[in-house]
Amino acid sequence: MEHHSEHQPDELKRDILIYITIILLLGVILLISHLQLHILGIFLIVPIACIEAGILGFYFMHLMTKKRTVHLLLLLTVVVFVTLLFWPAWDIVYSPRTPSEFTTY
Amino acid sequence: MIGGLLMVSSFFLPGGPASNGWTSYSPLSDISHDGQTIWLFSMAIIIISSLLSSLNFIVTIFNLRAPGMTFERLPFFIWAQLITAFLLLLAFPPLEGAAFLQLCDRLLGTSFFLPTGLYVNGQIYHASGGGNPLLWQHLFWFLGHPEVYVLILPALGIVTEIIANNTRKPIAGYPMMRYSIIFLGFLSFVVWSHHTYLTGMGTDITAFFQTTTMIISIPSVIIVSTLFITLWGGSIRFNMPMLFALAFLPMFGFGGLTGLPLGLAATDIPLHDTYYVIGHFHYVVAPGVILGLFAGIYYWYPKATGRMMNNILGHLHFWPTLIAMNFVFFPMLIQGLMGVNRRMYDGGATYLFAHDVLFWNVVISWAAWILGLAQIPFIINFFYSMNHGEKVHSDNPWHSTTLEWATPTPPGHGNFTKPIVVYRDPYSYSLEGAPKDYSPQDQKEI
Amino acid sequence: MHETHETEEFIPYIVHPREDTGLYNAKFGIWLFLASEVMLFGSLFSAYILLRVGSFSWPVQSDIQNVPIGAINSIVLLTSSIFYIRAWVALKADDVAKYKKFMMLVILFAFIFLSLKGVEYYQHFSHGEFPKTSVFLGLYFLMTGLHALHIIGGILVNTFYIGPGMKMYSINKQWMINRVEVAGLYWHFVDLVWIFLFSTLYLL
Repeated sequence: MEHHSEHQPDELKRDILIYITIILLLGVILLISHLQLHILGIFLIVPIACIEAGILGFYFMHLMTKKRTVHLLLLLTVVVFVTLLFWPAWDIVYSPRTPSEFTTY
Repeated sequence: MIGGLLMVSSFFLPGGPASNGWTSYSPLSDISHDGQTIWLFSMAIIIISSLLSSLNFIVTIFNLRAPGMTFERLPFFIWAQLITAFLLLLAFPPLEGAAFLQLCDRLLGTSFFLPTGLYVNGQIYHASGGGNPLLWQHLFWFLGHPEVYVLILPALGIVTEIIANNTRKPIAGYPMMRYSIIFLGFLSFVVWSHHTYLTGMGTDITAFFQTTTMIISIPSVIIVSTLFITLWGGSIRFNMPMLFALAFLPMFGFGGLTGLPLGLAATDIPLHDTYYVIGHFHYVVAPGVILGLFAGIYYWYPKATGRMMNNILGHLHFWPTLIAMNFVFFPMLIQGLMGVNRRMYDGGATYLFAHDVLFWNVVISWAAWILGLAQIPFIINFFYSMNHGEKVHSDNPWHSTTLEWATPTPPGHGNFTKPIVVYRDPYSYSLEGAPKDYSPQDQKEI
Repeated sequence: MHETHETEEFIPYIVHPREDTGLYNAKFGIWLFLASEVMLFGSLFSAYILLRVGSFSWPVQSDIQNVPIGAINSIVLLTSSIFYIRAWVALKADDVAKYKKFMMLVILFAFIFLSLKGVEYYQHFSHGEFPKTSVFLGLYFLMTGLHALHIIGGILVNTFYIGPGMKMYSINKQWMINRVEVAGLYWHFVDLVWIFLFSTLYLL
């Protein structure tokens, strides 16, 4: 990696920094998981994983240089994705049919 | 094609093809015979092909527009195809995921959809349990609802093109139609659970989906009303495409109205899974989508073949089709209101409450036969007119403004023979000061 | 494929981006494809959430899973992502030898990932843990299996781009660079999915 292109000497340093950051975050979530924090653990691990993914997307996938078209597409995808992720589970939890440890009636 | 062939080949399996209803609800579809496995594999292949073509459409519409073609100047048919492509892109993959889950259930013995303690034929079924049949329903309908919009949107687009062309005036309030269709596409992702009202959902989630379902009727009403309003004051030409397009409007409108009791949870309780539902969705798809598609065939036939389709055969096709369709599907609404259920092997004969309305089955059957026979003039017309139809003498026989008529007849590879620049809106009919009653989009002078 | 220059005039924006969208065709296409992949894996994540909250008991995942191997795999994939970027940068700088070197490293690391996965699967099978043993294991095998299929697909594409695909470079350099960029986006996405898979299936 010594003879990197003259055009992007800073990018290499930046890329290595991102790499180390993501690995550090990975270490953080490993630690959190080891502490067996249960529900709190979920609320910590998922956002940190999202941050890791966000950093990867932002820098490695050049999301910050993309135009509006891709940003809008991703926004739409994220909204639809979140809907798919949580609505069916909401149905199962807050329904009169399945007694689960979360239902209160 | 591979997917289609695979699916049709399932008819030759010893156990027969998939026989779990088009919705393939678990647990039955998890444990039924092999036809279902083939169905799942072929669905996976078909879904991938859908995804790839929707990619093609979206990139083409965004990136390969002619100079001067802004999004506001795109014809409504293209807008409809764009939204349809987005629906396909984002809604089909969950069904693919669900198909993989079910394939694992069937082939690897997992139980994503099989609950613990399932009894089949009076005996306990040995599966690892822990699954949830509702998971299949949610994943399926997450696609299933956008799917019906995928069915209707292209037909809406076709009808809009034909109505603008044959009233010789612009679409009334075209920007409103564009916003409506975008809104419709977006909302179609958040209404799916109106198909699962009767699964014992809680009231909060039911209320949510009921609300979004009611809201989604607004854009479709706007679009259909806009088309009706466009007719006002137009110089209407009653050619074959226009007849089909005109028939589409009240039929689709009526079908949509019959959907309202189904969208409200309280009224859905007696109507769910009855013939009323069949009547509703067939009204929007058969007199709706199919009439729209026929309209498109009659409309673009001269562009593809250089000849017009025969008018007499067209009328012989149209009138019996329209009348018979109504006699097939309207009685179903009546039967459903009386409580006749779907998918009963004897058609409801064992139920006392159904006896008063079962006579309609005779009417439906007669009308269905007539409907089938009415398609024969169309098939004859389609093939006969290819070589013997009335030749058209220009590339633009309907005097339309949109760009597809600027191609040679039939269009070759690459469509256009000269560079195209777009100068005006798509429905520039009867402009003030124009020499003709239409001003093509790619023509510089008005 | 030999008439690229003609096809460039025939179908515009294959190589150069369009001004108002800022994208060339393939880049837009791959982002759309990735959006659909988000929905595909999303449905499996949704199934995971639904089944887990609706279940009476769920195994402690970190007891069943081999977390160290999973963590190592995460680093392996992440490193391969960095190599991919270096490969693309090298190609942009006209250094074909370096590009090939880095791309081969990407493929090598992908194989390392798959081998470690294979070791994990073997460990599970030898403990009697199969997909049908429990819902969690079923989900684990399906989700990581689907991910592995995507890795294999990526390996095939990357091999193509240092093998027969090199022909594109001699026809039109920018075209090849774009293709590598687009394939790189796919590869980064596969890495991204793995981050979520690891967090969800190993650590939660």
